[in-house]
Amino acid sequence: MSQDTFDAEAYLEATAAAMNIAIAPDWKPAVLDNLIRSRQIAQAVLNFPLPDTVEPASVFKP
Amino acid sequence: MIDFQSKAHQIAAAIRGGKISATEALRVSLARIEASNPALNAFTAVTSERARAKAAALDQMIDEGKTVGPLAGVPFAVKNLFDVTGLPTLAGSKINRDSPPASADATLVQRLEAAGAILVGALNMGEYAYDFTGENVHYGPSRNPHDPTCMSGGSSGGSGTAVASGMVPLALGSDTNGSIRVPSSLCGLFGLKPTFGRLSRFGSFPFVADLDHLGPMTRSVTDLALSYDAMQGPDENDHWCAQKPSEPVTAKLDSGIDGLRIAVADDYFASQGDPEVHEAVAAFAKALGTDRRVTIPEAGRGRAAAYVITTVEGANLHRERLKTRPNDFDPAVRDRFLAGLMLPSDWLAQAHRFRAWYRAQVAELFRDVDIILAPATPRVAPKLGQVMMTLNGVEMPVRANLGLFTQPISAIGLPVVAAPWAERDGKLPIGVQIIAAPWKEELALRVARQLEKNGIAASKAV
Repeated sequence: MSQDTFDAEAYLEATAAAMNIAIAPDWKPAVLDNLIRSRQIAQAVLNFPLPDTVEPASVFKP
Repeated sequence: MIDFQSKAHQIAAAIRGGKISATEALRVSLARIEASNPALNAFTAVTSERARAKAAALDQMIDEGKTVGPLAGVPFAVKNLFDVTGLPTLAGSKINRDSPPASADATLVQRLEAAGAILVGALNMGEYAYDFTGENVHYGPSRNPHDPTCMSGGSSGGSGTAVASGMVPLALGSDTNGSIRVPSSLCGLFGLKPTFGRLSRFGSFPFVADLDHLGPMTRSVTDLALSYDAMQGPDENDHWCAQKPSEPVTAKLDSGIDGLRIAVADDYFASQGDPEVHEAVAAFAKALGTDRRVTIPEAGRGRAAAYVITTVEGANLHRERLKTRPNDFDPAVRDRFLAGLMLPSDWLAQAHRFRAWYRAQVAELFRDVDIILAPATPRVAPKLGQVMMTLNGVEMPVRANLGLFTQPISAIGLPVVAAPWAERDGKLPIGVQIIAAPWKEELALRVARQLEKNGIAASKAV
C-alpha cells in the first residue's frame, strides 16, 4: 500500500477555488476536521472491491 | 376520561363514541402545550385557531350523525419540515424564515386530517435535518421530557419531546439516517420508519432524496398502525413514492408472532454501545422466545455509504445557500456541508454502487429470517451541549454517532419499528429496532404489538 500523502488543507483550498466558494479562516479548522473524517469513513466503501456488474440503485423513470 | 397520557386510539374512540367532543380533546392538548412547551421547547408554531375550527367542524359532523375517520379528533403535530398552509417551512433553519408561507399542507398532513386527526402545530428540529441531537442554535434545543437537561435526539427532536411529554399523542418526523428512531429511543416512544418509498414525501423540505423517509411517532403500537394506514397509498406528486396500493395493517396487528423467524443482529450491532442497550435487545429476544443470531453483512460499510451519500447530496442541495448565506447556518451544520461539497464524485458513485451490493446481501438474509432485532441507539440521551461521548473506550462526536445503529438500516430502506424497553426503573429510556424485509411493515408492527402486550415494550408520557 502506498504512503498516504493527502494534504487536506491544500485539497480544501483547491476545491473551494474550483467551486468558487469562500471558506472563512475561522471556519477552516472545523471544515478540515469534517473533510478528514469524511475521507476516513469513505475509505470503508472505497476499499471494498465490487463486481463490474453492480450498478447504482437509483432508478430514473423517463 | 382524556388526559395527557391518552393514546391516539383512545381519544378517537372516546370522540367517536360520543363520550367527549373533539373540542374538549383539543383543549386538553392545547392546555398541555401551554403548560409544558415553555420549558421543553417542542413547538415552533401552534396552529390553535385552525385546530379549533377543525374540531368544531368535526363535532358538528358527529352531531349530524355523519361518519368520521379512525383518527377522529386526535391532535397531532409535525416536524417543521412538513408544509403547513400559511407557515414558512423552516426545516429547522433561520434561512427558511424568509421563504413564502406554504400554500398547501404536505400530503401526509392532508391524509391524517382526512382521517379525522387535527393538526395543532409545527415542531422544532435539527437544522436541515443534519442532526441526531435535537439541538438547534436558532430556536434552542428540544428537551427530553424524561430529563430536560438531556437531548431529545434528532433530528425529529421536537416530535420526540411533544409526544413524550403528552402535548400530543401523535407526531410526524422524518428519517434519513435515523431521525425518527433516535429520538424515539431517547424519548421512550414507538416510531415507525416505513420502507423507502412507502409514504409520500410531497410537501416536505428534502434533505437527501435517496434516503429520506417520513413516518409517525407515538406512545402505542396501535397508534403507529392507525396513523400509518391513514397515510399509505401512491402519490403521483412524489416521484420516489412507490405506486403501491395501501396495505392496511391495523386489523392484523394482534395476529401474534407464531411462525415468525426472529433473530438478533450480532457483529457490528453487538460489538459497540453501552451494556444496557444490549440488555434491552436481550430482553426483547427472550420475550419473543429466540436465541438466534444473524450477521448483517458489511453493516459498517453500509453506514459509511449512507454517510457519504448524505454529506454529498445534502451539501449539493444547500450549495447556493452555503455561498450566499453561510453566516445564517448553524456553524456545525455549515461546516459539515462545506466538507461534503468538496468530496470527489467518485466517492458518491462508489457509495451508491456499494449500497446496491449491500441491499442484495441483506435481501438474501431475509430468505431465512423475518425479523431482525438491533439496538436503536448506542446509549441513552446525552446531556444537552455534550459534544463527545465514549463508547467502548473510544471517544467520538455525539452528533455523528448517535445514529450508528440506525444508519446501516435506512441506508437500504428497510422498514423498522423503534420500540421502547419498558423495564427502566426510573432510568432514561432506551429503544430497540425491530427490522423487517422491504414492504413488510406489518411484521415489524405485529412483533412490536406482541412486546407491548407482554409488557416488555411500553411508553408513557412524563
